[in-house]
Amino acid sequence: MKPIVYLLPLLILLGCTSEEAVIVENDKPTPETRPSLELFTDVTSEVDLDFTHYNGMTGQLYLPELMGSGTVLFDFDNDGDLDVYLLQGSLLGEETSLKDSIYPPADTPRDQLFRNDLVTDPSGQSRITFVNVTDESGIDATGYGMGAAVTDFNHDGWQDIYITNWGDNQLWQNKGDGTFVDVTSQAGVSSSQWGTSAVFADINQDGWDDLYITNYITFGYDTHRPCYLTNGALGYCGPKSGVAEPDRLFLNQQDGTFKDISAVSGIAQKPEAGLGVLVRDFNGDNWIDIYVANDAGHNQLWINQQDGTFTEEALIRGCACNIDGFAEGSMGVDAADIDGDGDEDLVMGHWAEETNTVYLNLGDGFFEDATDQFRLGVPSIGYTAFGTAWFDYDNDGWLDLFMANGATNFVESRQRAGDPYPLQERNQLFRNLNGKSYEDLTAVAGQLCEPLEVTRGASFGDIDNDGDTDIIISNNSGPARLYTNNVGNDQHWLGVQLQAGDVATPRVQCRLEFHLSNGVILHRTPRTDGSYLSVNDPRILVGLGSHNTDVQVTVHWNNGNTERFEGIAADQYVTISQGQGTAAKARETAE
Amino acid sequence: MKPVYPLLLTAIILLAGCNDKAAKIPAAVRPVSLPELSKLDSEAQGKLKFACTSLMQIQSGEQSLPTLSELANQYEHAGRLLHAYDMLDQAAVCYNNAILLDPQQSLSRHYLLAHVHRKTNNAEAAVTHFNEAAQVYAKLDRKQPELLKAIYYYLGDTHLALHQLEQAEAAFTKALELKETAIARWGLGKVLLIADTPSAITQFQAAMQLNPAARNVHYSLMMAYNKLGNRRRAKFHQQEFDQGGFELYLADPLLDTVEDLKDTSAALRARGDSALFTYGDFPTAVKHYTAALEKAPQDTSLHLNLGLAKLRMNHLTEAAGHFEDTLDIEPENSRALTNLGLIAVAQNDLPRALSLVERAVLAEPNNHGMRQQYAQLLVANEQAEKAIEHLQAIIQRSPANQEALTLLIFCLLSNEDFSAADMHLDTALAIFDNDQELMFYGVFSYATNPNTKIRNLTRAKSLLDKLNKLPQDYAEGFLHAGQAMFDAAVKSEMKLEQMPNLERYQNKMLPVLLHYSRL
Repeated sequence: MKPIVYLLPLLILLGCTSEEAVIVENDKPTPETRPSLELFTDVTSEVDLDFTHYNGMTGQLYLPELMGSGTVLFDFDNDGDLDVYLLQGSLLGEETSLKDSIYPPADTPRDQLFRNDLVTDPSGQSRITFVNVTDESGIDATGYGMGAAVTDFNHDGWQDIYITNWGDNQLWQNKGDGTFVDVTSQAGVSSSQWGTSAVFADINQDGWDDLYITNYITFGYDTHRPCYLTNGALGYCGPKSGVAEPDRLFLNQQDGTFKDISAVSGIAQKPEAGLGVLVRDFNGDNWIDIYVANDAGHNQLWINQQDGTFTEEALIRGCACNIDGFAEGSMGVDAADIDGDGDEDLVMGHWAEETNTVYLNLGDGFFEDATDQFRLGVPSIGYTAFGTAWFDYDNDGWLDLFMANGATNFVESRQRAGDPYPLQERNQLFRNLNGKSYEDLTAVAGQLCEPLEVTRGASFGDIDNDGDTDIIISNNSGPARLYTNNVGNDQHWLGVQLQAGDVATPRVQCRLEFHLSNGVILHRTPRTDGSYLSVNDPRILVGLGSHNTDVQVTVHWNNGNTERFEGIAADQYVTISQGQGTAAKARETAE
Repeated sequence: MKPVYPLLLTAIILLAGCNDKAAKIPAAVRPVSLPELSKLDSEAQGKLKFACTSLMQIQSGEQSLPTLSELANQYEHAGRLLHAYDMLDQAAVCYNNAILLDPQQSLSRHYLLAHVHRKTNNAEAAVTHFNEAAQVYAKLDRKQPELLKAIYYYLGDTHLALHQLEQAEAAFTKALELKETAIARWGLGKVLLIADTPSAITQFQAAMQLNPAARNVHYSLMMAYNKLGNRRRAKFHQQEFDQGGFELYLADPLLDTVEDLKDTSAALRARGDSALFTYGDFPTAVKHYTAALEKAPQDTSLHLNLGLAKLRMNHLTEAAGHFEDTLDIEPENSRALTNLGLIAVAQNDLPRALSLVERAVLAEPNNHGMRQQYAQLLVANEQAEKAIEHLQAIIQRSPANQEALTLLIFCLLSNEDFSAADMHLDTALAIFDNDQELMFYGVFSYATNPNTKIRNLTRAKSLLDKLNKLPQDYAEGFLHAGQAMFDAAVKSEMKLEQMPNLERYQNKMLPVLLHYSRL
C-alpha cells in the first residue's frame, strides 16, 4: 500500500500539469473556465531589487501620501540592458520626525538607482541581478519623489534623468562614468510646483529634446483641511482641494540649457490638475502633440502649431471627457494602435466609480469613447487605476492592456480585515482579441494580478532582453515588484532601437511599420512616456506571432522623412539609424 | 442526581427549539456579519450595528425567528443601510436574502440589488435583476410608473455598458413609451451613435427640445457631427457645452430613499453639491444643505454652499446672511469673503467689496481667481499700480493666464509703463493672437509709446486691421496720433459716441487708454 500512497500526490501533480498544458494551447479559452496561468513571475527578491516605498504618512491624511511614486527603466551605463530608478517619498508634516511615521523607513528615504548586471548564457538564458548603486552614482534625491523623464539632453551619449517632486524638481546629468551631477539650476529647468509626470520630446524638430512637466495642484500644510467621505468617515481630499498649477514647457537651447516657453507656447494658459502625459503625433502632421491626463478636469490635447505654440483641442477632438461629457479623474495614460489601423488610440485609468476610458482615434486626430465597445468599461468599475500600458504580453501582434490599481478611499472590506492602510486592489490584465475587444484575464493571470496592493507607478520593458515585455511596479507604502514575462517569447518577435543623427542614445517620437510577409502591417511608436509618473523601455518590441521570416521595417521619422529597412530577421534586437535605410515616400507606405 | 435530569432535559429542549427555528431559514440565505464601522460617525455606527446585530442574532438563534416575510423586511432594511454606506458586498447579501425569503415582495430588492451590481463591476447580474424587477412590477405593482421608467432607463444604460446594443435600444424605447424624457432620448441616441449617426442626431435633438439646458446632450451632438465631418456644427455644440448648463438626471425616488438613510452631514452636503453644481437644482441644494446644517451647525462649508445656492437663486440678502454665518465661525474664510465682495459690488459698494476681497487674498494667497477679482476691483477703484503687484504675482505662477495678462497690460499702459506692457503683449499676442481686447491695447502700446524710437507703427497698423469695427473706430485715433497726424485723429474721434481723447488730440497730445469694456 505504501508505494501507492506515495504516488498519489505525484499523480495529482502530473494531472494538473497535463491539464494546464492543454489549456495554454487552447485558442480562446474563457477566463471563467481557465485555471490560473503564470504568465509572469514575481522575481523581485531573487534579483535583489530591494526597495520599499515610503509615503511619509503620520496619520494626517495629507494628499501627497496618496499619490505614490513612479518607476524608471533606462540604460544609464550603456551596457545594453535596462537599469531601474525608483522614486521615493519623504516624511510629511511640520515638526515631525521619522519615528512619527505610521510605517517608519529602514533608512533615510531617498530615490534609489539599481544597476542591472544582466548575464545571458550561450543557450540564451538570462539572469538579472540588480546592484544598488545609489551612493556611487552621486544622486542625492531626498525630496518627495513623484515622476521622471529620461533623455540624453546634451547629446553626450549618456541618458540623463529629470525628477519631479512635490517640491523642487531636479535634473541629474549623467557623466558617463556611473555618476550623475545635479544641473537643475544651470540648465534652467528649476520648478518648485507639485510636479508629476514629465517627458522629453523634440517639439520643434531641431533634433534636441525639450522638456514638458505636468503639474498637479497647490498643496501646503497651512491650507490642509480635513476632508470627509459621504459616509461621514475622514478621508483623503481630492484634486479640488487645491488650485490647479499650470504645466511647464522648456525648450532645449542645444547648449546644455533650456528656455522656459510655458507662457509663449500657450501651454500654461489652461491649468488643470495634471498627472499623466504623452507625446505623439496624434493628427498625422509629423509634429509632436502633447496629451495630458488630468485629475477631475478635462484632459488636454495640445496640438503643435509648428511655430513653437500649441492650441488645446481635446474637447472638439473628443478626448477631453467620456462619452457622457463628464471629465474624469485621469491618472495613468497610454497611446498606441490597438485596432491595427495605424493611428494612436488612447487609454487612461480612472478612479473606482468611473470606468477606465478608451478613446479610439478615428484616423485624423479626432477620437470617440469606445470603452464599452472594447469591453473595458464594466471590468474597471470598482478599481482605481494608475500605471497603464498597452503592451503585447504574449507577442501575438495585438496590444494587450495592464492596469496598476490601488484605491484612493479606504476599502471597507480591507478595513474589516484589519488592514491599517486599506487601499489595496488587484492589478488587471486584459488580452486584445484581434483589435475588436478585450478579454479580462485578471482572474487567471496568476502572480501578476494576485497581490492586493496599492500600486501606482508601472514601467514596461524587456528587462532580461529575452524578447518579451516585463513589468516593474511601485506600490505606495509597499515594495516595488518586478514581474518577468514567462510566455511572450513563445512567439516570434523583433526588437528595435532607433538612433537619429549623431546621438547614440535611443530615439523615440517616430512611427514604425512592420511589414510581415503575409501582408500584415503592425504599427508601433517607440515611447518612454505614459503610464503613471514612470519611464518605459525606449525600444520597440513587436510581437510577430507565428511569423518567423524576415520583416521589412518602415520608419516615419518625425521630421517627415520616411525610410525602409529590408530583410530584418525575427527574434533579435536591432538598431536602426536614421539615414541608413532606403528613402521611401510616406504615401507609399501608408497605402 | 435526579434534579439534574429535568434541567438537562430543559436545556436540550431549548437548544433543540433554537435549532429548529434556525433551521427554518432557507439554506440559501447567507449570513451577514458586522461590518468594520470604526471610521464612521457614531450615529451611523449605531444604525448599522443595530440592523446587523439583530440579523446576526436571528441567524445564530439567539433571537426568535420572525416570519419569513418579516425577516425579509429586516434584511432589506439592513441592505439599504449597508448600500447607503457603500458596504456593497454585504448589501448584496442582504438584498439577495430578502428576495429568497419573500419573492412576492421583491420589486424594490431586485431594483436596489441591480444598482449594487452596477457599482461593483457586475453588469450582467445588474441586467438580470433589472429584468426581474420589471417582471415583478408587471405581476404585482403597476402603481409606480416612475420606478418602471427608472428600471428601463438603467437597464438600457447597463446594456449599453455591456455593448449589447439591441437590448439597450429596446430598454430605452420602453422607458420612452412610459414617458417622454430627455434622458431616455439621450440614452437611445448614444446607442444609435455607434452605427447610425443621423438617427442618433435626431434623438439628441429631441432630447435637446425637452431640456435645452442639458450640456451633455450638446456634447453628444458635438461627437455626432464630428463623426459626420460637420466641424461647423460640432464647434457650435462644443461652444454650447463649454458655456455651461447642467447635466441630465433621472428622478429616482426609490434610490433616493436609500440615500436618505445616509443622513450624515457629509452625505447631505454631497447631495447638495450635486444639486447645486451639477444639476442646477438650487431648491434641492438648499434643502440638503439646510438639513446638513442641523447636524453640523459649525461646518463652514455648509453655510458657504447654502449661501452660494441662494446667490444662484438671486436671493442676495439671504445669501449674504449665510456668508456672514460662515465668517462668524471662520472669520477669514476666503470664499465667504469673496462672495460677500461680489454682493457688495452688486450693491455698488466698491469700498466694502475691496476690503472684503483684500482679506480673502490675504487668507488664500495662492488662489489666482480671488487675486484677480481683487485686481479688477482695484482697477475699478483707479488703483492700477496696486493691481499690477497682484497681477504680476498671478503671472509669476501662471504665466499664460489670459485674464490676468490682459488686465496687467491695461494697468501697465495706464501707468505709462510701455516697456513692461510691450514685453507682456509679445507673450500674450503670441498665445491669444485673435483676442480683440489684447489687440486693442496692442495698437495703443505700439502706436503711442512716448519714446518715438520704440514705436512700432507697422505692427500697430497690422493689429488695427484685425480689430472689429467698434474697437477699430476707437483705436484708429491711436495710430493717427502715433503718426503725429492729429487732425486725422480728431476726425476719427469725432466719429465716436464717446470721445475720450478729443481734447488731447486737439492739443496734439497722445491719447489715454480706455478700458476695453468701456467701449
